[in-house]
Amino acid sequence: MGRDAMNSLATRWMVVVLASCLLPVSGGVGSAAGKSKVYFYNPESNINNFASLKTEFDSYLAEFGNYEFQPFSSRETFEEFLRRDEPALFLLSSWHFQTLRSKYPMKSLLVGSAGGRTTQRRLLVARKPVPDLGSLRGKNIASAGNKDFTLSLLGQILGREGRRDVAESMRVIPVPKDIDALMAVALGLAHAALTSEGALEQLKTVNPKHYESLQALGKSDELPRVIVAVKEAGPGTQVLLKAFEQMGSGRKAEYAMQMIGLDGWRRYEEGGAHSK
Amino acid sequence: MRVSSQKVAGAAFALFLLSVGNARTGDGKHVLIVNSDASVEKFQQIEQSFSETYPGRISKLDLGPGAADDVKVRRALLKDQPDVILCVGSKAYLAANGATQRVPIVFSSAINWRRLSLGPNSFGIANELPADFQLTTFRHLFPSLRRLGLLYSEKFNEQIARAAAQAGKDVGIELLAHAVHRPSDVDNALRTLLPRVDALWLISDPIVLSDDAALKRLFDSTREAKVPVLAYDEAFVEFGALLAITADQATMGTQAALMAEQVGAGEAGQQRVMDPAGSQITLNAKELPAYSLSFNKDALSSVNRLVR
Repeated sequence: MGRDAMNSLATRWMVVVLASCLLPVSGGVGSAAGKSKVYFYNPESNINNFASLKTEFDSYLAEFGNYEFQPFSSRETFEEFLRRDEPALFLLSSWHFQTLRSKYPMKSLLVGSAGGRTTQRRLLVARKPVPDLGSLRGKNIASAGNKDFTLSLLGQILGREGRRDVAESMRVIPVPKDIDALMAVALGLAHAALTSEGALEQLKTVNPKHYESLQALGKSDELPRVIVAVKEAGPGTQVLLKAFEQMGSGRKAEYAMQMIGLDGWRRYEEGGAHSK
Repeated sequence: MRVSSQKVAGAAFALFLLSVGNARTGDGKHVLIVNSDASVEKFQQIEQSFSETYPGRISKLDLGPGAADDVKVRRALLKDQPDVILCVGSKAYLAANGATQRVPIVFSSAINWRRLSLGPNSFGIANELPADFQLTTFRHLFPSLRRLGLLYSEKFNEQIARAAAQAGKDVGIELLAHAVHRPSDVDNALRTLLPRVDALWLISDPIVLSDDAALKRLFDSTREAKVPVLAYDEAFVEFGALLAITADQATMGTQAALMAEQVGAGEAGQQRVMDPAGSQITLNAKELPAYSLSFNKDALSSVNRLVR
């Protein structure tokens, strides 16, 4: 092999070696090259404050490294990114996490907390008087959650009373937030609402007259709040976990947390006891 | 002469088609969506959420920029023979209402629908959130708000002012409403009102907001008096409004679809115009420090757009 050919080969190998140093490390979060992503999708909330949410999270996470927050409005698109082999952290609702487990092995790491509680219930609320659950058959229900989530929880709540058939007949009106769902019922724009315990308590404080006009017809199981999960933990996972855990203290991430209805994070292992 | 006879026969046939009742049978009523201008984002949102919710067949007509044109609607009615028309925006409603009194119309995104002459076969979703909804939201976001100022003209907004006064009592907000009769009354009204209120509620009123100069003077006055403005459109955030609250377009589209189903099935309720069920909130957080009105941070998850 002549000198020129050897030099050319050596040059090529050097390029390959240098290029491989720049490739993302597979598995885990916090790669050496490019931004590591934090993906977010929440079917329990219809609020579309994505631009503001991204600004707040990106600004906070920038202090810890090369991270980027990416919220999604579409379940399909979020799950597309979930299927990819890129290292990322996922913020998602616990309900969605449960539905995904069989398809994508994921490990839960943190659960969100608000007012000292890491769980919440959803309530089925209607305007008084409600003669019986059958009177809701075929009626409209306002909900801040998407259709799948709403019908799933309705099935759970009404199924306990032997009225799953009523749940399956109801028409979902998606609204941006829980308080909108309650106001829709109070003002006669929907026959029922699926909402959070917290939102009903807020209405009691803000508009006692409307609160008194409503009746809770049933409750869901206690559901953990938003979960932080990974497909595969890696070296960068701990850095991000620390960043998230610190969000609850100090003012830097205050807006970001409150925009997703939380005031802190706690360590969470799926199936383990989590403090309320 | 033959050509003339053919034209007459054609016209007669067209009239026959227009005059007969719905000849369709079976399930799935056909809706014609008439859009005032499909290039406008909020109109696109209504059309999209309607299309995602409505189960039957849909055809579309975009009127585009320009004046209301009922001829275009007549042609579409002749061609498509819809059972129901969805009108997106006031222009679409005016065009459709001018083209037919027979085919039921459901409207959405028509500004201040009470100013329209509703046909006997018209139904719709109002574009404005009811006073009750807005005041409940103000109370939720600003727990210390006790006195809310409102400038309005009796000609355009007397009903809203009365409804708001009652709604205010339900949420512990005293509404100080000051009627103005002419644009020239506004400056004096502001001088009287602003020292007595915690915030000023800005509603859509052509006497209060008669032109750009009046708008500028209003915001200059409120800034000087350190009184925040709670406005009916996001555009006012650029002028310094602390909060904007509007009806959510996607929710209105869904509501219109459910209403179109009922109307198509001959099951329209007694209430011909429904209020919108969802809201969009913009908080101008960078203006917060300028005012003594405290903000409920626990309500931040209800904010759609945060300006910082």
